[in-house]
Amino acid sequence: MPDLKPFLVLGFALGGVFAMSGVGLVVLYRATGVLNLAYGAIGATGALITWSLLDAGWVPDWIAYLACIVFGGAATLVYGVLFGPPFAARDPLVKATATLGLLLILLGTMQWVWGRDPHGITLPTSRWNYAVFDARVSGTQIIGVVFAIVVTTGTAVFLRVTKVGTAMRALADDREITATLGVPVRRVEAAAWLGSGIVCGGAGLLLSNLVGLDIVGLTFLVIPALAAALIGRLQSLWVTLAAGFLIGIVQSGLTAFSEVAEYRTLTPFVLAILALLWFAIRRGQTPAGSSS
Amino acid sequence: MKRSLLGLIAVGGLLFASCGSDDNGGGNASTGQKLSPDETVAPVSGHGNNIQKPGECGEGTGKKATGEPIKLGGMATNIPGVDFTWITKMTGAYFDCVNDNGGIHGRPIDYIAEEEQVDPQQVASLATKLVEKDKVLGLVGSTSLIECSVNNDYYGKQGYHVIVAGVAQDCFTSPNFSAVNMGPYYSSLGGAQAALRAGAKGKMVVVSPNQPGFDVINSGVVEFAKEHDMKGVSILEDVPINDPAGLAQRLVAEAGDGGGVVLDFTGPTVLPLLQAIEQQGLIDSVVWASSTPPNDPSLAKELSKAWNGKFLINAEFNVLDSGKPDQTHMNEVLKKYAPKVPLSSFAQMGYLNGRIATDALLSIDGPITKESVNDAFQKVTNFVSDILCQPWYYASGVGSNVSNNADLTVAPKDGNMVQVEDCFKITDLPGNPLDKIRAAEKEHGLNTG
Repeated sequence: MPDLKPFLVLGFALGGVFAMSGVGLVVLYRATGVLNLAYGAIGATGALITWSLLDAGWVPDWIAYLACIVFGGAATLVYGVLFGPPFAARDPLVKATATLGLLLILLGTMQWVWGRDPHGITLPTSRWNYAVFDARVSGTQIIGVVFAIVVTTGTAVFLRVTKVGTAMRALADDREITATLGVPVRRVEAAAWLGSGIVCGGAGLLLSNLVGLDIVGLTFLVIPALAAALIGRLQSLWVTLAAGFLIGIVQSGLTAFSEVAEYRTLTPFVLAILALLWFAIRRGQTPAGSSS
Repeated sequence: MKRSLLGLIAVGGLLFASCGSDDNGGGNASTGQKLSPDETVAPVSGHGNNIQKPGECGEGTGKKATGEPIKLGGMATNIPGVDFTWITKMTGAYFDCVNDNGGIHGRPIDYIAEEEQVDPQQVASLATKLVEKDKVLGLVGSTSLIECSVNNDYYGKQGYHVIVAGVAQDCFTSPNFSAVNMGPYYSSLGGAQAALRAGAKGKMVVVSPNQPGFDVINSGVVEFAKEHDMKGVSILEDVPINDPAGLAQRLVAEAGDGGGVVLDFTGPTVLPLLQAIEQQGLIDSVVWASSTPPNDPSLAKELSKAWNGKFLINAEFNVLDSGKPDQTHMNEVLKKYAPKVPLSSFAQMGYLNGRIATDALLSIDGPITKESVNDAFQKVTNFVSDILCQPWYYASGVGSNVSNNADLTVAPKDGNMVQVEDCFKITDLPGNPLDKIRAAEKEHGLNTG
């Protein structure tokens, strides 16, 4: 039996960023009905902008880091304001497919501008290392875990306590009725796009440190986040948070077993399929009329 | 934090203290000792008829070629985590330079470079397109994960002798191909040799992308380990790597304390892994080595000083800032004709493909046809370039073509890639044909310069 402790510690840290990204996806979906598949590409583009600013040395480092978050918020907001209303009445599948277009545009742009060389960002917090069992946990990994929990808690409170949050929940239930009640739908949706984008930018910056600033790798890291969101049924922030951690821990834990390590990247898919099967079975067992 | 905008490197000597020269741990890169290959070869000096003059390509007339184009073709893999199109782009860049310098006796080269996504049907159809629709006279610069395996029979029947940068083992075992490089099988083996000399003991782990054919590529290191009473472990990893810290822990756990690990990834894929290895404090746990692709100054620029001299990269070609005539010429061509292609070993492969094909085309007396072009390609012997450790030739006559079978070792140091070992022979094993190839080289004088 291999020593699992370092792998579980690293998996917990990895799961934090999956969870954070998953929560960002769920918030946007609940408010707008859009599953943003370009989430990873937006974060990756922001991280590369940060790298360029650091490389050029034009601005202080903290402004370069902030640029990633600002880009995430701005790019997502612009997309939401421009394409949100025309797609508002369309099927969620159509809305998700539209974000694939944004993903491909950003992916092509990144390959064109930054594709030729390897890039890397090292946040100052990545130099703070703490030994936990046989693994070394960096300050950035700790921030990733804390950030995921803070984002989830903050979002849950925001949705429950604030007027905009209440409006977002109402939008999730029925956009048309909410509009007839005088809620400024477009403004509330714009707030959801902006909030989701800011989380996306933050996640991109952290992930570029935790898994590397690889264009394709970061772009398609949306997949485990999507799996976490699916396990949360695109509704529950807390289940999404837990699922993100679970995916990270299981995937990293499997790394220790050479017999199955080769297949560990299937973890998000396997867990998402198992969860969907579980939901389907539970729905089948629910007596008619006892559930909405 | 100011970093330089361009990753051009300066020559730096990595001055290690001298040590023994046996193949079993004579030196240790981690402690800064000099590595000494067991069987070195004298590197090409930078003289000879083939060496390109500054500012010139091909005939070097300085006049634009205007005659009927000579069509050549090639294809390269481009999938997430594996981009070989830099090689065809650099080959195309050299041909552009040739076309600006009189072409092939006044005729320009029309180079058609295709991209493929590791789909056998696509790769086969692209070959058919190039040969039957575009009617290319020769194939050069191709660099694909599967092309040599998929199109070997087709090219053989059509009479093509292809100059490639080889990846799959078929590129090195079929008489229809000859590669300017030695490919990941031999390059990983060279990395393992360097790791052993640096003191790796117990286990030798080799990790490659989880792509078709890479299990065969890993098999060389596994066999090499067994030959040296070590345990060989082959790992295939999905790329891009999305949990580099976990993989770093696994590699060290597999290799054991003081073991050797040979990485076989491209620069953008390997950088996050190297950074994770450093963050996890695992640099000194094992001896880290690599096949050629990370021999890239921009990668060295991104690594911290903690990696100085501790990542032994098998370089199939000379260092990029050797200052020797051909290398300097390549750098000029890249800057002028392909500024977006990184200055890397991939660029060297593309450049050599273009150079060799051009020299072969210029050697043709009479009409330039498919037959004469492929005959000229096949007859190339003793092609001298200071980018290579030894002169290059197309066919060994023993069915296997590994004319690039000696190379050197480089390592990152202070943001540059510096040479840490002289040219040495890649080891022959029961599972590879290098002993037969070297006997044929000696018998026929194939790479005497």
